[in-house]
Amino acid sequence: MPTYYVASDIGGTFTDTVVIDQDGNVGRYKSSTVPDNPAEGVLDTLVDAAQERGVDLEELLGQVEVFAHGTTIATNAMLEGRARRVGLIQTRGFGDTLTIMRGFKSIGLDEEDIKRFRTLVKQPTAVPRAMTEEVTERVDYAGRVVCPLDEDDVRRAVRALRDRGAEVIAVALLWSFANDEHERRVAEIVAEEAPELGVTLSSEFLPRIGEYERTLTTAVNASLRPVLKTSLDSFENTLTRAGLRSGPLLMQSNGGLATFSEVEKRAAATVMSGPVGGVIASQFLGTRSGHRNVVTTDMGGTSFDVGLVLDGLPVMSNTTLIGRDELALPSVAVRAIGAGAGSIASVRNGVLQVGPESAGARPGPACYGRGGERPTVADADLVLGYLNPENFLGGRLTLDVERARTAIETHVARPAGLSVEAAAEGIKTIVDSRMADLVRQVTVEQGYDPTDFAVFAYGGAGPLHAFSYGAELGCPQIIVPITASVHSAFGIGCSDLTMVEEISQPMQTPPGTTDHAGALPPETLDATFDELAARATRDLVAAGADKDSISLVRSVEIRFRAQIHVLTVTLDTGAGALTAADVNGMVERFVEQYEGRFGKGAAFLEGGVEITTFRVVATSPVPRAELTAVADHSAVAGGSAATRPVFSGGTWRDATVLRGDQLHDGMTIDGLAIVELADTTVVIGPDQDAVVDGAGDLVIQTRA
Amino acid sequence: MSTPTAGVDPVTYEVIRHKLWSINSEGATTVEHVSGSPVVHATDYNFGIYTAAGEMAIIGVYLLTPLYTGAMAVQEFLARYDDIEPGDVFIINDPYLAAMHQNDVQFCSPVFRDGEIVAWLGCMAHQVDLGGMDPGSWCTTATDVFQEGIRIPPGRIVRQGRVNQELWDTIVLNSRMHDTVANDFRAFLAGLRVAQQRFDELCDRYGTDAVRATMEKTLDNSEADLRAMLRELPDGTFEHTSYLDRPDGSGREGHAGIELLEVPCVMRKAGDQLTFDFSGASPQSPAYGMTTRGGLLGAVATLMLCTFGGEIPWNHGIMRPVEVVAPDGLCVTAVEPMPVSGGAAGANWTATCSAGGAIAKMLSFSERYEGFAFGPSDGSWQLSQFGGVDQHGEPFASMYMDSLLWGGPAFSFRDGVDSGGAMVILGGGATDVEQQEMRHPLLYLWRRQVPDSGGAGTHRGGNGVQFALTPIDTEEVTGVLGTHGVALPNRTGLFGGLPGSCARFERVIGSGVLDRLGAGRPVGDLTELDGDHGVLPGVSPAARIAHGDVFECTVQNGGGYGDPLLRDPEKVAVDVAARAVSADAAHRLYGVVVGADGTVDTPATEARRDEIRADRRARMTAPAGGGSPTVTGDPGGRWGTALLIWDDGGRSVAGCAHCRTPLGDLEGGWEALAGTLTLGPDDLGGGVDVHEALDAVAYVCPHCVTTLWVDTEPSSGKAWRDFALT
Repeated sequence: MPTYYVASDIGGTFTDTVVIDQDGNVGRYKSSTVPDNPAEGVLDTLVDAAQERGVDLEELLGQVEVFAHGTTIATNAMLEGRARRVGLIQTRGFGDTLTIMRGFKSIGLDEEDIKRFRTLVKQPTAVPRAMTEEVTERVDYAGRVVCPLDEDDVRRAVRALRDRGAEVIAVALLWSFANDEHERRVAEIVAEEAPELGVTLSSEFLPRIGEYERTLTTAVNASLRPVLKTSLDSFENTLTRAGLRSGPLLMQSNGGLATFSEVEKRAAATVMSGPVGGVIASQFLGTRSGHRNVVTTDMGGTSFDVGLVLDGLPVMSNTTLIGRDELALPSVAVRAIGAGAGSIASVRNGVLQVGPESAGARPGPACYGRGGERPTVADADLVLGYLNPENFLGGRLTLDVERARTAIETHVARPAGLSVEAAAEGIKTIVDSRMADLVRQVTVEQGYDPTDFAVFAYGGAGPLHAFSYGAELGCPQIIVPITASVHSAFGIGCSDLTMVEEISQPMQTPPGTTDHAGALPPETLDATFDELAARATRDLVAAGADKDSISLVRSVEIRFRAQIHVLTVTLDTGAGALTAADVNGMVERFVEQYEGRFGKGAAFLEGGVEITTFRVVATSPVPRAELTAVADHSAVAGGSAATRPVFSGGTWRDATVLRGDQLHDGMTIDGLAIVELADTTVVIGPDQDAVVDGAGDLVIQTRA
Repeated sequence: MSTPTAGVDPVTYEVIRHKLWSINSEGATTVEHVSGSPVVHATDYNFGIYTAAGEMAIIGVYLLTPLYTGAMAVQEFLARYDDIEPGDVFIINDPYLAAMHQNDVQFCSPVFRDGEIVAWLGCMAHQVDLGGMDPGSWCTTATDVFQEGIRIPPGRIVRQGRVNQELWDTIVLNSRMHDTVANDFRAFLAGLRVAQQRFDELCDRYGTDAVRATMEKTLDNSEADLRAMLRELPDGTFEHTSYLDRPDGSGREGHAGIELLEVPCVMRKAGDQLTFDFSGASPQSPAYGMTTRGGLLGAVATLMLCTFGGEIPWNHGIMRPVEVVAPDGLCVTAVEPMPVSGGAAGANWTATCSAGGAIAKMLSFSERYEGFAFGPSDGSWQLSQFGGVDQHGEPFASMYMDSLLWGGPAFSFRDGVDSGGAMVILGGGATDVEQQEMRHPLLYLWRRQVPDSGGAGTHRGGNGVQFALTPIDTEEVTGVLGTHGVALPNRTGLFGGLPGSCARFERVIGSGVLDRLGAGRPVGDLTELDGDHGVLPGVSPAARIAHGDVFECTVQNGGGYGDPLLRDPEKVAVDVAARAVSADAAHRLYGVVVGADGTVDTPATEARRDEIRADRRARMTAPAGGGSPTVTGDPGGRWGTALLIWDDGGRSVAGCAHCRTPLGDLEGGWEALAGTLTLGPDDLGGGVDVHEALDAVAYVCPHCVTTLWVDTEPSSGKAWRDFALT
């Protein structure tokens, strides 16, 4: 009996699904997302998958061993303000923490927006001030009680919040991660006073230092939990009714999977559920093909997202940026700029600009014929001959070349005094150049040179544009994976069950310390790690993981006391007890990593170091097929390559045009060439060639 | 509008422009990465690309006030040296020439192509210490420049690629923090090197001419855009005055011990040219508050960028139509030997306030640009630096960035930003309380937003914070405190909006606060504490905060826009629920009565607003001039929400924009057409102090008594006119 491993990425517009069978064959499917019922879009793709295999949906679902997915439920609930009404309890004197926002009004904004003072305002607070109550209590930096908890005050606060319509309660007291007594007592009192209200404690959900982000994240989590639970319950019901037997899994922002029951407690940890899949997929495929350093580039309709894989591991951020809020939850780092196929081109002062304004999906580019009249990057791609009007999105949409030409003519070519073709090529050059600049910035900020990276290109428009921005960066190889059109879904299918446990326990070494293990006793570190490891293991086992399959990675957030930047440093010592040498080794590795990222001589060890947070990441592999061949190109469909004219380098020239089924392993394609895969178009530049590797990926290189 | 210059097509132009920006951020990232200095990481640094002539071509968002000194520095090097070679790197920190204060050290290197300078790269960072009488080199009690940090004249720190080691060592040796300074200098060189390399690559790829043409064109475009905007605005003279208050050295209590420096700005606008004239500013003096020409130009440049730079790319083009007039030797153009180490946040901030007021008065004549106008945006930097022995037994010194959390100014279309409205640093903020407490032996009693601290108005000024600290696990700490704006609000409002609250440092000696908390008794306010209460002088170089004492800092906040009586009562109710406005202020200043259920009591509100109007009418001094002119037709102009202006056969007649009653000829100044009343504590928000030499005065329509403007002016009478159109 066949076994299937299925992963879906439910995006705003499309739902992408990959179905991998026990032999490692990958099927790719796409349908429109049904916003009110995300399961429906998933089932649509699975109907296609079943049809292809000549079985009915129920039979296919019955043979699915693992179903994992990424979702935008939490993201949308947060961005659209559909989350539940939170009542927030804080320490007396600090109820304005969210309002004050540490004074920042620029988080999550582009430089252009920051430079416009008159419209530069803070985002609305996650919890209105009127829904925040202060209670008398205070704990200090050492976890000592400076002021005891006034229980009557807590009762008053809870009643007040309930009367003002709170649906859930979040509690975030100062230093609660150092001493959680007061928060736990508040939870008990809430249970007595308002048992109908759920409670999230910051000391339980996110015991880490930094009250602003801890409070924000706790409040956001409290508000999202009920929404996510309702959605996931209905999602699971729909799939189960249709025949799914295994418990579905959900992708978290940290790039790992979790069960629904676990993720319901950490709803806020799923806000980047979808986008991180592509980075994980690139990591997975890169590792297979020997690329340890990868820049992942996802060019969609409205944004260009960049991630990094360094030495086989995705670069993580200690926070998650969602809209204009920064949550204190680790995430796979993804940087975005507003450059996509829908970015609008315009001329001002004789200067041609592309974006940041975007036509989005509605009305979309002019060539979509949905009422969009302003020229976009996609219109330029069409006019230049890169896109086939008859074969866009697998033929689901016929593109209108005339509309695209008219839009470019009216809004760009005429005002800038250019021909339509030159204007179209100008649009493409500008957007490609901006994307290259962003990639460069992301690698340089990490202390790396982009020429040391392979570029993975995916998303709707990435494979078309990568030949240009990749070459500009000087990256040796540009890889368009066979999974490009469903790359995030594929990445979700490559992920492990993951559980992160952390706690802040600030520890310093005095200035001048040389034996760091003296000031950071290994047994103290061990005790903390052991507790975190036990918790993470317990949770993973509860999620169905085999205890022996669990691997644990211990790390600390550490900084030089005289400096600002915090790095996460791993103690790669296996599971054994830490020794003095391990601790000193950790500090050495910190110095090494710091200087790697911030430059030789930047480390300032003489001033001492400070550990703030301890973290254990526990993972357990999800059953999956060994991918022997992602795509089967053994049987070559006949037919010789066609050609079509493409405007490149200021002139029309003939480009070779191939269909996906004309590719075979080891085949070399000379540029200028266009490969039309089912859902995406790949371009190989005039001075490049591409090789089809064993997995079906296209590897583009500058011709020797 | 200009068209592309020769030498670069529109596509290449846009590609190069973005790449220059990218090179600039790569240079900045490198400086930040290599420098270990926390000050650099708090964004008190910048990186810029300049044209061959030293105009800013590309700049990012950093602490803005020192930005302009980069251009001054390059121009200084060009003027002094005719033997500039490839591989040279210049250095300067002389505040009298091209810096705001000695801490701001700049490195600049010329970019040569084919034997010719085609651009300059420059970077600056505030050095943690460069010597002088006080650690940190911010010497609040210095009486001349020689007591302050080392002054570095323009010269070469690197000559043709070789470090000028003697000079390097001399500077580093004069710092209390040798390593940090040396590291910052290395960071500068690394940043310049990276940017130079990438700039060369850019020229190799697109041609030097194209790169140069792109830089010129970005400047030309910004200049052309700004000039086009200016041409849409009325010609005339626009004036605003702000004051710098400081201890007069007599040690007397209260206002008697505080002297005022005057910083008037007379802004003249003619066609597409703007002149800021500060000639009337108080003369320089050997005490706190002096700023140099670099600080003054920085203040004006910051204001220009933040007023007009929302639509125009930031570069020197925005300063081309601007002239700043001020003779040497004023408090805003101090020369040797005046002490200027505090020049980063002295009279130049006051100049920003007066220039900001003047620009706002001009913009408000235009329907299109009135939304660009804002009142004085940043009142004072309340230096709150503490040092001593920390809870780990180690010495510590730390500047509390909480002082940055002031409220922003109100605009014609929105309220000011609460707790973080700064203009001088658009992307900055403070650290978490927990991070501060982990590192320093000071327990916060509160960090909170003060209700009513932003000026009331149709649009409310932003509220700001107040934070209170008490030593814990240490015997005592010493505070270095310095600010102005304690005896008057620098942050006046626009068109009847009230001023925001003043700055304040307060101390309670022997409060017993920890015992009180330990007993479970919360502290809501300093007044609840025992002990010896006192307001500290604005300049307190050695404030002792011992175990059991409490220190509190309250920041200066944004002014409002428009008469508070015209604020939508529903918005007031929302503010009351959010604790942004107290019920008392809602009643007293806005005339809004909010019921116990949080909703607006409409009849009571109408009655209260009538009562306030009646009170105004009773207290009003009738206008000095004007009368009851008759006008025909529709008004041809408008000044903000205050005035309508009719062209009556060659003379301009102004009327109240609220009741449309013509008030009189503008010939003698609009002020003569309005009724006036002096505002007392009951008419102002809490925390507003008005020095005895000044009055807070409301100018009201003599007919409908709507407040048209509120200002602080000399008790002897206002000596300036808000505007005189030509």
